[in-house]
Amino acid sequence: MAATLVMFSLARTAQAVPSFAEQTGQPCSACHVGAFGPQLKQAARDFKLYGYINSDNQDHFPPLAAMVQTSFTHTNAPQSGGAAPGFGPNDNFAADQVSLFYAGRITSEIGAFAQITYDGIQHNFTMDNIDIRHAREGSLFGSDIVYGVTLNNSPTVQDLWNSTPAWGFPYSSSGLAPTPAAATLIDGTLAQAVVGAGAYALWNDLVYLELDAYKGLGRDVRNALGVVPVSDSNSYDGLIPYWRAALQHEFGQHYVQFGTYGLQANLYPGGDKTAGTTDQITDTALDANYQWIADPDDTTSNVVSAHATYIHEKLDLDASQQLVGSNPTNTLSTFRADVSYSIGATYTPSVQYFRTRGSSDAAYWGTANGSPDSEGIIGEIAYVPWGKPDSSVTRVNARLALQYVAYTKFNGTEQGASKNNTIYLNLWVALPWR
Amino acid sequence: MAMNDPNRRRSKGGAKHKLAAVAVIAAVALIIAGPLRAAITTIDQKGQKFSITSVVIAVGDVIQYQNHDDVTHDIMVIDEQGEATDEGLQRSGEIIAPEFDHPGTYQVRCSIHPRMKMTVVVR
Repeated sequence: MAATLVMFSLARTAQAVPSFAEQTGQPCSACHVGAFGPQLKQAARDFKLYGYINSDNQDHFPPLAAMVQTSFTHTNAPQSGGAAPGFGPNDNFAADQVSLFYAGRITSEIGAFAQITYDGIQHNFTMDNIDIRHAREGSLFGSDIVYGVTLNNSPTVQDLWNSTPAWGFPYSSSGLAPTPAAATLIDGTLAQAVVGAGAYALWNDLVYLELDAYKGLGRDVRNALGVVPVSDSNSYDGLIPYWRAALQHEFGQHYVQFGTYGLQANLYPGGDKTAGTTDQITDTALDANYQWIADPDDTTSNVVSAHATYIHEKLDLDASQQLVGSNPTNTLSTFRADVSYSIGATYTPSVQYFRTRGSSDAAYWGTANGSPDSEGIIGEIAYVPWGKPDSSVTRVNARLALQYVAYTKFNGTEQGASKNNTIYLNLWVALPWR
Repeated sequence: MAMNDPNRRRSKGGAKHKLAAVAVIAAVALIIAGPLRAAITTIDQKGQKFSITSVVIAVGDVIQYQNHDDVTHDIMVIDEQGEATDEGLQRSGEIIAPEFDHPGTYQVRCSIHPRMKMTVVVR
């Protein structure tokens, strides 16, 4: 059950939005490390904080954009029965996804990032990430404060930092490769299965606080929105509170951030309410970001960027214990840390270490030995030819990335873990809609 | 005799005319030289920030905003009533000099980069 959920949720969506570039009159490199989304620089964090409304005061309405991703996936061992319906056991070419964005101003005070995606692996349309925002400025205790509200459909999709799950590295990954069965709830499992609203504030350019409340979408709604899977997926009892706190500081070429985030949810596993009770899941996370920009005046200068997060999940499994005979309680922890060095906003090598550890429970995790543990490294080199101030092509951008995922442990075992190692070649093209 | 010296009388009358001429020339020079004596303050736009966050100037003084970034800015001057004047797009390397011809406190911002903001006090 948990494995099924995670297999789909970890096929990350990825973003790059030319309509933001058109609205602001800025090249991609002004806002994004490596001149391509979604890794954010300070200008992009500000743009999001202020509600996607900053502009060059020219007419760019409506702010529409499109994105296409195609890929080749090779795994060390073929997957019997095919990597997905309609695909072979190995060496698959795919049109991963085609997305249409409304990304930019709705009014002079409200902005949105909203995405509809055709998933070329699941072969369906889906309402993808949504984040609608409104922000104001004021003064508190003699210092500036920016405060606002967000309406979104995925915890952390509204976050300003790339250390949290929705926008974390890798920014694109194969939907045709095996992925570990266990993941925390906040680590993508709730994406597009909930809708929530919250309020946030950044005081003195230093302290960031946010509180949101999410509500699980019913199966009919998810079915209508194309969110998969619907059958056997969890349903949620009551509201899901989400919190976020962070400290940030920029000094010269350096930027640092430390924070915490988390949520608490009561869920009916697999949507099964026959136990008459729920599983209570609490996720508590720490995160950190660091950026070094060689020349802040030059948007194409070299950038070192590092992100890390540690998520600890506590599972009180009152329902699952009755339904599938799981342990009464489990724990699951995930640690990820990545660093990239963007050279001239054109070549960006990156590396990430990831590890998930948890209590053994074969009935709950569905792994052979009951352990949810997985561990490995991802290496990637990305090439972005355009998106800079002097680029010959100005309205279209592209990113070609070669990625290698190496597992030292997969679903609780080191033996055969490397069979899941994956080579992923991804071409990602972003263009304005008009 | 000297008092009746017509040359001397002519001389006194000429001095008055010269004095008047000097006064006129001085006044004209002051009028012409006035603007030239206006202070010029240069504020750099680097790293998508202003080089200073506040400045006090006199009416008629000039502020030059110089874009050292490799991206475009769009300076807005906002008066005490909240009325904004868009100074237009300012491309990399360009200098713009908004007019501050009335006393007051003005907010100067970039409409693209909200972090770029400063206060101009005109006295």
